[in-house]
Formats: sequence, C-alpha cells, structure tokens
Amino acid sequence: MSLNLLINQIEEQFSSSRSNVYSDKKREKHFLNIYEVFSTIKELSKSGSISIPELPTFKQILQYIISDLQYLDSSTLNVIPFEIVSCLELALKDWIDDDNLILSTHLSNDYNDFYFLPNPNREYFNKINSFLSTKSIIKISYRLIKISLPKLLCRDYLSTVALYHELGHFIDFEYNISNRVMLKKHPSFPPTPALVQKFNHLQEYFADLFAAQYISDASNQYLEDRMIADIVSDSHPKTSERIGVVAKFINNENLEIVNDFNEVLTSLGKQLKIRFEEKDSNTSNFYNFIPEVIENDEQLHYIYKTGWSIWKNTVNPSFLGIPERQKYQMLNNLIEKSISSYFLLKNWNNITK
Amino acid sequence: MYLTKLDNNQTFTSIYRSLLTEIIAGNNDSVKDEIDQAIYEAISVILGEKEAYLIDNKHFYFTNFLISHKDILDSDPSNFSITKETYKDIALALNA
Repeated sequence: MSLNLLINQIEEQFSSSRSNVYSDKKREKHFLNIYEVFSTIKELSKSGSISIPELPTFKQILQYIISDLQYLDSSTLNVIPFEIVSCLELALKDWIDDDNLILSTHLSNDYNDFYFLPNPNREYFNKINSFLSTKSIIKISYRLIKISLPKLLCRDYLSTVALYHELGHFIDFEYNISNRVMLKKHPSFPPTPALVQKFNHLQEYFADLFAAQYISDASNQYLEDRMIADIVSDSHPKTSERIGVVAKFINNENLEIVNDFNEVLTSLGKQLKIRFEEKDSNTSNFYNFIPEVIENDEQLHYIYKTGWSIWKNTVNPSFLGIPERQKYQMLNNLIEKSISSYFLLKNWNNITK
Repeated sequence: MYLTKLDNNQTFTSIYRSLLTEIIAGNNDSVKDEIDQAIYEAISVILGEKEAYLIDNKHFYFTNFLISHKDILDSDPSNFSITKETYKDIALALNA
C-alpha cells in the first residue's frame, strides 16, 4: 500500500482548480487550507516518515481532501444558484451555529441524483484534526456539507425543494438523531434486516419532516410528481406514507414518529416545529407576474410552497392562455427574483443599521 | 460498482485505531482525555447509569462501538480502570 498514486492525482486536481474563482472567501480559504495539509502529507510521504500502520488513515485524509476539491469545483461563481444556497444556509443556522461549515453542491449528470454525502460528520472531522495535530500538521478549519443535485435542475426552484430534505439528512447525521431514536426504542439495536430497514426509513422521515418545517408540503408535491410506483423499499418508505406523515405534521396532528424525534431532539436542545409563515397563494404577486415581497425568513422558505401552489393551479386566469413552458420559466424567474430581492434588502438594511 | 463503499464502521475504525496508537505511544494528552471520557461514558451505559441514546455527540460512534464490544471493558465494569492494556485491547477490537 502506498500513497504515491493518490498524491499525484490530488496534485493534478489542485493544479486544474488553481484558477477557480470561488463564490465566497470561505471557499477560497478552505482551498488554501487543504492544499497546505496536502503539501505537508506529501512531504512526509516523500521523506518516508509515514509508517505502514498509519497509511490507511493518511489515505483516508487524502481521499477526504480530493472529495472536498471536487465539491469546491462545483462551488465556483455562476455554477451554484446563490438563492437556493442562501435559503439553506438560513435553515442550517437554526440547527448549527458554526461559521466554519460550507454548504457545497456537486452537479450530477444523473436526473435522479439528489443526495447528501454522509461523510464526514463532526465526530469524524474532529478526529481527523486530532490525528493531524499529533503529526504536527495544520488543522482543517472548514467543513463542507456535500449535497449533490442534477445539473439539469440546478436552477429549477420547484425541484430544488429536495435540497431541504438533503439538508435534513445532514442534520440527522450530525447529531445521530435517527440513531438515537433507534437506541431509545431498541436499546440493543441488533442489526437485523427489519431493524436496518426501520432505521433507513426513520432517516427518510426525519429528512421529510425537517424540510416540511420550512417549506410546508412543497417537498411532498415534488415527491408526488416524481413518483412512478408507490412501493416500499429497504431504503425508503412508501411515498404515500411519507406524504401522509408530512401532511399530519403540518396540520399539527399528534404523531408518534414526531414525538420520538422530538424526545431525542429535546435532549440536544433542538425541536422539530413549523418554521414557515403561511401566505395565501391566491393573492400572490406571482399572478401579476411580479416578485413576492418577502418580509422575514419564515416567509422566505414558504416561497417554494407558493411556487408549487401556483404551478399546480390550473384555474386562476393569470396563467391561462400562457404556454406551460413559459409558465414554468416565469415561475422559476419569479421565485429567484423574490429570493434575491429579499437578501439584497436584508443585506442593505444590515449595512445601513 | 468497482469499489466497496466504506460503511460507517470502516470509516471510523482507521482513525480511532491511529489515535489509540498515538495514545499508547504517549503522544497526545488531549486526545487521551477525549478517549477516556468516551470509555467512561460507555461504562455508565453498560452499568445502566445512563441511557445509550444520550451519549455525547463528540464521540457517539466510538462509545457505541465500546458498548457493543463490552467484553473489552473488563468482566467487572463497576471496578474498571483505564490502563495501557485497555487502549491496546480497543485497538485490537477495532482491527478485527
């Protein structure tokens, strides 16, 4: 086992990414930070200072670096829509107050590729840094939240609701929420196939509920739209059941699964609750083809729900007679403009305060 | 798929093994404190003094690993104390 091939691959990647212009300073700093870590490991490897038992850990760290580089490559200006990322960052702040987290996206060529890359969580990240410090190597300061989305849909605001669900997976993984629910309900938690399936389903329910806190049932709308067969699998519950759970949560009905999550979350100082402010979509500015005036963060998240309501409304006269494709484009533009105006005004107000 | 995807255990195993090796070599006191804290928390769960779902997030995986391999932590957890052998035994179990 040697690090040579990996080191050369990473060197090549660094050299092609060097001219990237990142969408913010944090990403740029992270690029330089992991380059420094990489360079030190390269020197250690060259000088033969890495022992054989240490090789797997160094290999893992190098693989961590190359994965970050790939995600940083999709985080350059004009690639990721700042509007959706800014909304997700606001939701993230409700759950984790950590300025060293960077929400990063990877654009996939697969139309179905909405996923969160589950490694590393905080425990793993901190342990990597502990290991680096024992080797007198500079620590990695920033941590990427890695979310993949289809390239085709990266500016489709009806579909990007799925990213709230993916962010939910990150939060779950970060605090081991579904894991804790399993430990509470099945203290021995032997990995029988039935329990593994239950655990997988819990993770999906948590991500659905997490999204619903912010965007109401907008994620359900997309789920329903994408559904081909309403079947249960090892990884996912039946779509109709997922939709049902979210609908009950939004209606504040008493749900065992929500109670289970909240019991665990309370011990972590968190809670699943409604975090959006409902606005009547029938009186939306979108019907007059102008952006929504958003007054607060709660209304901001709800804009996705408004978008879906209008997309599905086939009786309001405003969009009647307009080709569907044009309605689709207009809605996406209107959602994007509403979000960007909100952040522009918010930043302006913060400066002038 | 060409390569096996590492599961959670495999991801954590190598890094914790390396950290334990450093502790055995006497190289890092702050890591030692963290690992000790995780070991004592695992003992509390084994003794029924603490519920498993309340394990500290800082070392959630590691503490759970110890709980599921409780034989490493001596046959009499109530009289347990951490020695160099403890770290060696855990590192061996992580290797298995």
